[in-house]
Amino acid sequence: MASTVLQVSNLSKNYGRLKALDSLSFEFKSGEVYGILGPNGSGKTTTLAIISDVIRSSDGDYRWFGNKAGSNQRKRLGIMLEKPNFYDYLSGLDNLKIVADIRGVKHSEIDAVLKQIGLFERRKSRFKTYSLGMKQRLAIGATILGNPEVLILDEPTNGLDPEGIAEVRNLIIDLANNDKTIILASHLLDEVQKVCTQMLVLKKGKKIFEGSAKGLNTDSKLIEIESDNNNELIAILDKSELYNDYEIKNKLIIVDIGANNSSKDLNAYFHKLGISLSHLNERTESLEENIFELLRAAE
Amino acid sequence: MIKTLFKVEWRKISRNRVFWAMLILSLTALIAALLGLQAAIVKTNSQLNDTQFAGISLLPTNIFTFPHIWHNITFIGKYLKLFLGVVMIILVTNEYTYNTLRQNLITGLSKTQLIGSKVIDAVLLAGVSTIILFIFGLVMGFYSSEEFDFSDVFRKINYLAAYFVVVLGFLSFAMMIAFIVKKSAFSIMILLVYSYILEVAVASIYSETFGNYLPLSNLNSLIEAPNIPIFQTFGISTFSYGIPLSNLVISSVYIALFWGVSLFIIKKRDL
Repeated sequence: MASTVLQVSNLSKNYGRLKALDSLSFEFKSGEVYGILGPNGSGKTTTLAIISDVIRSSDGDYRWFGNKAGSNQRKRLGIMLEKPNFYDYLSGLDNLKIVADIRGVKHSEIDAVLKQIGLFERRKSRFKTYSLGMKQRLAIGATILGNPEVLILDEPTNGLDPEGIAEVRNLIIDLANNDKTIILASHLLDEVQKVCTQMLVLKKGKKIFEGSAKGLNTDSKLIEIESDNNNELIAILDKSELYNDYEIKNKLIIVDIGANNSSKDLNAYFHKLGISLSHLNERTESLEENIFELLRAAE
Repeated sequence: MIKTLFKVEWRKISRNRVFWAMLILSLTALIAALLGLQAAIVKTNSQLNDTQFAGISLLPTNIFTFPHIWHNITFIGKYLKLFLGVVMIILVTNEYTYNTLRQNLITGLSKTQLIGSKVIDAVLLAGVSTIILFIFGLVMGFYSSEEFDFSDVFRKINYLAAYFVVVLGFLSFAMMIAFIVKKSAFSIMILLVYSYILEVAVASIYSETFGNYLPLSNLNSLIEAPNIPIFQTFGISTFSYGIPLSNLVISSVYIALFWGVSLFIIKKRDL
């Protein structure tokens, strides 16, 4: 059974009059990949910075592995916040040696990590000579060094080219497949959709959704329909027990048939009633649309 | 954990060219100042012999003879600790510039260990400076002392220990300023203004009351001016040759306070 790795209770952060976080509570379990989503200023980075002990909360509490936060807990986490922060006059290898020394990890493990992040050949080059993508990869290397139980990644694909984004995404998927708990904040919904199993959606420092990524993604299945007589269709839908959740957009009737039904079932339903549909199309309700819907609803 | 912090700090500073350049510059300046002062004394003595002061000894003939060398070189050395203070400030503000305080915290160091790592830097710098002065003192002492008893070689070596405390205290003060201000140029400016103008002024105005207990004045009082002949000539021979224990205690309290304030700042501040 999955155990609780992080418990956040009524976390608040004020910057003067601005409430960056407002009584935020949530719980993360082991072995899941959590996506923290929200527009700019929603509190994603503030949340991650607080649970990483980098900034102090104004109120509330959080516990890692059931314990109060502290350096012993942080050693069980691999954290990457915003941009990579390393000594620019040191090589990538020396920077990772510092990380290894602090974590109490053997230096012999560093080479494997450098190979994993594709920096082995450039390990002796100074950090300041690295491209943004290489710096980002080194930060990921520092995060995974020592095989921590939980990874916290804030915008890990920032500054990466498409190939780099794909590499990092695959790396995250690999780590997730090894039962690693991952907390990923990103504004790239596509990225989150591809790797996350759980979602936490924030807006203006408040939680507006917490739950399965599937729940956010596929609970509804929308079918566009049209016939020569749309009024007749609407009358039928109004009386239907199965298909009464619909809306009309640009002369099209959009029916939510639920995740477990198919467009074929809907077509068969109308066919039985002697109605031929002139248009039937399954809409893919993207995560993006669902998130926007949630954010609009939270206005 | 101290071993780990030492390893981490050594890895950071061993490849830091700015650090080594500044350290070599500050130690070279110290040695150059000592050699230059001796050369100036020799020249001044020879000029005095050509004047009405001929035959009157105003300056020591050689500041590098045992056992007085330890007192002389540490007294001069304490005025050149500013360079080391600048090195200390750069070591702290670099961590803010690279945002590596935050990185090292999330990697697993505690805030106390972050301060501890900088205290190690201060101890190392003060230690290196003291060792260089010790080696310089031994070399110059044996070279310059014509007749001396072997017991004279280390007779006033306690001034080296006092020098270590003076430098450590000053570096701890510089560290505290750097943690408060975060920017190197501004920190150096504050260190300069406070050390060489503000405290000197306040200490001289209130010397009868609390002036001598101000942090840097108290630290400096650990190594009073040597009793050179010119003071004796003008009847200012009031300096003791010992290191005042009460001042040593107060200095230790100040050093602990500088470390404590640095820790307080970093604990109260978001990184």
